[in-house]
Amino acid sequence: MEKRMKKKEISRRTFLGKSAAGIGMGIAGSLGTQSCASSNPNLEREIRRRNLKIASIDLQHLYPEKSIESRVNNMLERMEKAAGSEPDIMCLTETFDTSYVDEQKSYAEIAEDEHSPGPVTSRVADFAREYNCYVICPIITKNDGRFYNSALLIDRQGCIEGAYHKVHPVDTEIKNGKGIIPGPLRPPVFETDFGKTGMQICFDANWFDSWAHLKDDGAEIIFFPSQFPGGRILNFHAWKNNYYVVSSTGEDARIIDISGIDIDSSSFQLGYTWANINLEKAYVPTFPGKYSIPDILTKYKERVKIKVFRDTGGGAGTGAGHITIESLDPELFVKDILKEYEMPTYREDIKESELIQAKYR
Amino acid sequence: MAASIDLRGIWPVDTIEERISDILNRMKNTYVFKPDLICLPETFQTSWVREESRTEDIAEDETIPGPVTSVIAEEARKQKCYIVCPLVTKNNGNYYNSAILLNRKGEIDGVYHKAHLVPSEIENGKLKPGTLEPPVFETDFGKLGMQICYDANWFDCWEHLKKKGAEIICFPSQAPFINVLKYHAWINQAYIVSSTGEGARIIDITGDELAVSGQFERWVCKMINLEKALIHVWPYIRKVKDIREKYRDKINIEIYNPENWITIESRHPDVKVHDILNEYEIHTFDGHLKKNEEVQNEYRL
Repeated sequence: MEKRMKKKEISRRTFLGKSAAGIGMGIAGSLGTQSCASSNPNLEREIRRRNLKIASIDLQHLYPEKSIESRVNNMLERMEKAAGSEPDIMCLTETFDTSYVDEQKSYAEIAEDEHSPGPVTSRVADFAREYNCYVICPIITKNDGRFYNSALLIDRQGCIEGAYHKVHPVDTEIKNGKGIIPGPLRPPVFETDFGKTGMQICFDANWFDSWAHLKDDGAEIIFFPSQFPGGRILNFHAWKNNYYVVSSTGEDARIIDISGIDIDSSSFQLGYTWANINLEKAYVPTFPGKYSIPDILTKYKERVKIKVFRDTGGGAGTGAGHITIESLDPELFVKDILKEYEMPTYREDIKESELIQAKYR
Repeated sequence: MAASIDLRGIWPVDTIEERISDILNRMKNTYVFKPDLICLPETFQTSWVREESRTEDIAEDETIPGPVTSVIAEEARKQKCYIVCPLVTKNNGNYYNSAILLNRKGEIDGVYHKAHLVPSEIENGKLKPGTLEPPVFETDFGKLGMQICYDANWFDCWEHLKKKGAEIICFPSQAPFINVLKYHAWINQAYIVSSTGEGARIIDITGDELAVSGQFERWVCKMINLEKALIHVWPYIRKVKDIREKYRDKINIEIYNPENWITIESRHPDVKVHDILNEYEIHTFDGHLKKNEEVQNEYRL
């Protein structure tokens, strides 16, 4: 596969990512953490820090599968196709190596280390390095003798940045403590070179606690590897927390906007989806806004994009509703526009109102 | 049979009298369906009415019907239906953005005070926010709760209504909050009847829209079935075939594949959904989550 060498364009929001020289696919278990330091410094490409490309894979037509090896091979093949969109990060499905695979193995046999890449992680890490993108790699992991339904974050150099442990496993996964151990209710948020990410897995969708913690801790994108698609439940989490949600499931893969609206979803033909998303974007109430949308557009013109939503507000003569406002200029930060026009984000506005209500209740 | 009135097309108007007349005319469209419940829009008496009015002049008593309440109560009595009548009320020297529940006899059954007022309503309108534990009202068809407009942005009161068993939540509002209401519906597994400045809607316990007003009819009226439950697909999908074979056309089962939900509703007066769940040892959706949560908490480090 041809490496992508992009013309460098340095700005406040770009930096030079490093990518290792091409290492052949299919080398299992051979790399380990040592490889993380051996990236090839000569191979560089531009990475847009806040305006990034996302790809997400679904499991359509990849199940049932006979063996773990063939599943991983087929998944990597699909990942390579999706890599054509030059993603900064790619999300895979929950326990993608073993779900709907005929070959039955125990957790002890398939669980991989969370620090030193095992057989499956190594192959995904090779891919991450080859294509210079982060990968959300959901597999069963082991840590201190315990098993977790996890999603590993693998960075552009193929290093394991961290692991998310499914907070709300189904009771049948837990198997009276002999199976999966539930992760902490306050899951980790991971720093990447484009922003902060978090993960939730499958059954987690039915609870709100961990999603809220991730928002409080600054997550801007939540990756959702899953068996079930999630449907409107995911749109809700995106809207409630005003972060992007990216799902990778047995049936589909979706990318959902901070407003809760679908940006894109995978097709029956391809089995993956991709989209550009802009982290310099905010969800803002229009009521009782002191700002004027025409004024902002007149001043910033094509440097900003504003979308007005009727369906979360609307409101006849009140002008109540919401907008998303995003910066399309690498030199312009959305927080500065909000400050200039005294625009609170939706969440800030709700908190401010709540304080006044509590005072007079 | 639930009905709801859309305010669109009858604002702005010059006088309160004109507004009341418009609302009554619009309500009459629903009478042919013999509704059990009609929901009116938030502060319909004064919203986008050019005639200026002070809170203290328009606020009505919460126990003895005032001028507007009396007019609406007369409709409730004549049509033998419940009406959610939202207006500014006064109680112990405080003013509230309220929704009065009138029963089929035209009597006041109770009142809800908007819990989450917009700050300008407090600072300029002299209104006081209601309790975070809003009341649930018993009607002859089931339990009913209310939320008003800005309340849609919070979850606390909706959750309280759910815990108290509300099956229908009426939502008088200025803004339609369309998607937000759909979320509240499935989260709380309650029907929502919204009556707003931009649309009237009836929303299913799954969040699906059952009826929406539009340019040709600025009102909605729809039969809703309170004998309906939303459950998780696992492991109960395995029992669906047996339930269908036993109850056939006496029930309806829908599968919501993306969300992993199943809805079961009775289509026969002798079949109660609660009994089917018991018979097949099916947990309610919340019961299912609670059962799993207990196991998760037992083994979480």
